Amino acid sequence: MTAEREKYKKVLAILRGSKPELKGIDLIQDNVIGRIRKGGVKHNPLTEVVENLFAWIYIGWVRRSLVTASVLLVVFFAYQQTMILKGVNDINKREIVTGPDAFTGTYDELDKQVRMLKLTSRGMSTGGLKITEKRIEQLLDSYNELQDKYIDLIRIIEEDPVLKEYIEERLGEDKNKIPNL
Amino acid sequence: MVEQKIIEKCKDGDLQSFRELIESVSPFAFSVAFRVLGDEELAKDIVQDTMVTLWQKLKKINSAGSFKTWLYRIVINKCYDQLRKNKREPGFRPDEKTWELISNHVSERPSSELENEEIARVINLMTGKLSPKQKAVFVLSEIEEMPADEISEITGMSKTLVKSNLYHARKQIGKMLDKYFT
Repeated sequence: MTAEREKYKKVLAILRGSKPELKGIDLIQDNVIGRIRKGGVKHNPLTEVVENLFAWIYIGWVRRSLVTASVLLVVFFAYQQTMILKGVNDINKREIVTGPDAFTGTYDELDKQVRMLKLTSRGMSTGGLKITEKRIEQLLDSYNELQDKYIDLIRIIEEDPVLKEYIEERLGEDKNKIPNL
Repeated sequence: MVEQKIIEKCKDGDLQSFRELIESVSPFAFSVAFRVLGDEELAKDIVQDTMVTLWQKLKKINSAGSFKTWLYRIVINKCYDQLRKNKREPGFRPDEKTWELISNHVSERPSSELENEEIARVINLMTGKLSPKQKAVFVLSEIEEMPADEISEITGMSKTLVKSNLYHARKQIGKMLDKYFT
């Protein structure tokens, strides 16, 4: 037997041999009976129902499980909040299109609006500018018309070498006129 | 420990029988509470509260056989509550006088019984560093000499947990004795 165990046994023997003495048992009896008589310890049906229903929360493993579940819920909540905040920040960084620019019509109209969006993303600011749908349609029509005419013009130039040479010459002259910044 | 007859009378609301019941069971309740808490006055309060709770829940007791376990369970639960309240109070402090007291009693042949105040000092010294559960298991198993099955029923812990708490309590106390008790 180790010295540690020997000491342990000796101290235990003293504690086992020394029984605590309860003095004033009469006073305890009187106090308890007094409390019972005062009615402070009447059977409260509500308390009994609650105790019967929820006494299981005093079971150790149930308590531990509840604590674990609460911690997991808090962690999940925190994670969810972080994801929501991240989402909100992403949305903040995006360009917001409001009002008549929002698509509500047919495919053709969508095409026009997409082109309009392309234009705005090339540097045209819409901040503070008020423009009606009709004006936008006019603008898009002009743009389409201009693009068609441009294609026709390019084709005509390509078909006529003399004209092409002339235009290239003129464009070269114009280029030279531009001051070097 | 208690006769079924007295329990039945108490269940019928006979306060005189309950007075007898208090007289017969209070010393056991006090012994456990005092050894777990290491404080005479607190242990007396626990006994009073336990008796009141006993009166309230007497109807749930089916037999005198289960009465003892039932009583100890109430005492231990009230001790846990008390220990939780005392949580912030300082625990173990090496105490020269108490070690001297232990040495004197160990060297006596046969060793004399300790007074309540002395028991409290020794208990507080021994169990000051233990958790409430370890304290309860140590007292019930090592001092009250109850079997693990009964402790498991009283404390609501599994037998494995009882043994584990007892192991840690023994280890902790053993280490301390080895260090301070010469």
